[in-house]
Amino acid sequence: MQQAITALIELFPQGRVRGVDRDEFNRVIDLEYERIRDFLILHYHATERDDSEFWRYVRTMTIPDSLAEKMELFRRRGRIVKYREGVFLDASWVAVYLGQRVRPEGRDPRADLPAMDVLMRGMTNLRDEVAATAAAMPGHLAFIDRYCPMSPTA
Amino acid sequence: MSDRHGPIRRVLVAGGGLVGWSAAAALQRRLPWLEVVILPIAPPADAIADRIHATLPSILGFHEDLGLSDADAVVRTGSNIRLGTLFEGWTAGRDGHVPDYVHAYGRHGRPFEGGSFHLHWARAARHQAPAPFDRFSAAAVMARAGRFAVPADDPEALVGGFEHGLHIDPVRYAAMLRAFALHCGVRERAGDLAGVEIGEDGFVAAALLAEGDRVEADLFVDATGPAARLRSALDDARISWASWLPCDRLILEDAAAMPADPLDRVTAHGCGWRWTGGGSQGLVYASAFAGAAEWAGQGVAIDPGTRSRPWLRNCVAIGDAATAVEPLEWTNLHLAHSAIDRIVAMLPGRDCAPVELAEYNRQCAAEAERVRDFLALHYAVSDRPEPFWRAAAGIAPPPSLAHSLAQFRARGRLPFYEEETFAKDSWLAVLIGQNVLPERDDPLIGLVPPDRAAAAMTHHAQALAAAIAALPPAGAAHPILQRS
Repeated sequence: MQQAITALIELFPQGRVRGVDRDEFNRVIDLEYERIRDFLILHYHATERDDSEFWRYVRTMTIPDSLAEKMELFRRRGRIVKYREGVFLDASWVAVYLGQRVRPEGRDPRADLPAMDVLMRGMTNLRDEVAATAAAMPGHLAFIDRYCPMSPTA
Repeated sequence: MSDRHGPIRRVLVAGGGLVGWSAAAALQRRLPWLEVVILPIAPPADAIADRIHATLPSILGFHEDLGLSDADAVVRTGSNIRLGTLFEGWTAGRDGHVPDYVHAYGRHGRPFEGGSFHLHWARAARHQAPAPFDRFSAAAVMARAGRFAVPADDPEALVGGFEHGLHIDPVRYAAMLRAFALHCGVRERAGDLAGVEIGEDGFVAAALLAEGDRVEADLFVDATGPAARLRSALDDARISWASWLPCDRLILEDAAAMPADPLDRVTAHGCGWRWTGGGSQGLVYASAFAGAAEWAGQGVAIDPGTRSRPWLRNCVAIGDAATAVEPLEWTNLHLAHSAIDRIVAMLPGRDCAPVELAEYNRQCAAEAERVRDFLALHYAVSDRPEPFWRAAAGIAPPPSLAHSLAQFRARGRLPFYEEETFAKDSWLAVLIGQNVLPERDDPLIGLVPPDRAAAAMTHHAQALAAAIAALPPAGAAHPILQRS
């Protein structure tokens, strides 16, 4: 929605609507939706659920070639197909792949560079740091009360 | 070599120019478990990426990725700061005046009153006479003034938000890369390439040397220039861009005595262009239009185009072996660096699985096509009267360039493309420099009183000129060494 509004402002017609503006708006939005579409389909398709007709269908259905290629690249070596333009960036794709237990079979050879114990120590430290930072934060409601309180009558 | 499981271990790089040594050094340094062997065949005269002195800002990122310091890569190779190019005569002059503009790398002006700077400038250009567009680019003003400072940390600072490239001496620079590559563990294999042995599976099995030896590898990197002496053994499928990039000849001369100057001069002539700068000079032309010029027929051939699949099976072509374009805007070495980065980031297994190579080739094609568009732009929008220029401007541009032009002409908008080499400000520098302007005022810009916009622009140009007049001369030292 917000992408569409941005594109609409950039291409807002003066007086009559011109084809050059209209077509460009449609092109930008189509591209955006194609990428969002693939990302959403991934949630359904990359499932291990086998407990209903619905999940069996989405798990085995034919998916767009553009998504099949993206999934194959992740499966082989953990690669994310990069686009600078797109709502969902690398981290989002990784979160869904790994969250839905799509595990790469191979890896980028550069991942073998650090020694395993150094890598594990680094990851443990990072995890602890993230957990400590999150634990030190106020609760969501406490934050809202402090940052942008609203009176109950508003 | 029939079993292609497992990782790539051994890589043979063919080509001993800038591109070959860059590839060997980068692969060995960044993927240190590889066994990188180089066949340092002297680069042929038509390998443009190996011979051009002017480089884009991306060369500094390439050094950084390799861990090469400015002291080693820049100062000891006798390289100098390069800020941009002065384009002279790329549009028709009036009353004996030769129009010019500078393309440097970075921001023009600053957005104000909720609108992009170039849209304010475009409206002013239609109704008033603002200072030329390049007077609002810190890098362009420095280039014209022959002065230099490293970009301020704050990209919004008056003398900030820009990048610079280098002028290199290809011989000294390649020698530095060679020393670095050998230090990293690259092994040199003397000899010339006599043939390519293809295995039953269609993969390259070995490079055959003139002396009778064969050199096996898991991956072959072809940096031998346009002839692509390894890669062309697999196929010769190429896409020609000759209709959009009309020049087909290059004469290149070193001019070592030339004083250092951060600005190249690229001057259009009746059937192409000539340049001087960075210790070299040259002439690029279309042979069909050269007539009886004294240099007609001289120089090396350029056959503009790209391989549809630079990487096929276990052989990847880089530099001019993958994409051949004229040196306009100095993109040849940049494209080679970009391919090398991509090989490092996307290295497949020994099987070179087609799905992985397809993604590599997709990114290369997207990048190369936008470089083609940017170069073709210089010809497509020129209004010079000579038959060569009229023919070039009369060809329908590639669809992606036509789209950029239509969007820009309609309302000053530049659509986004993936893998774009030149940032929006570079496109603006050339479009506006060659008198392409939006046909309408942007509605948001239209809300700003013209006098207020004009005052803001005048203030910016004056402040920029004053700040840059106070800077030291560009050639005085190596100020990039002062960078942390």
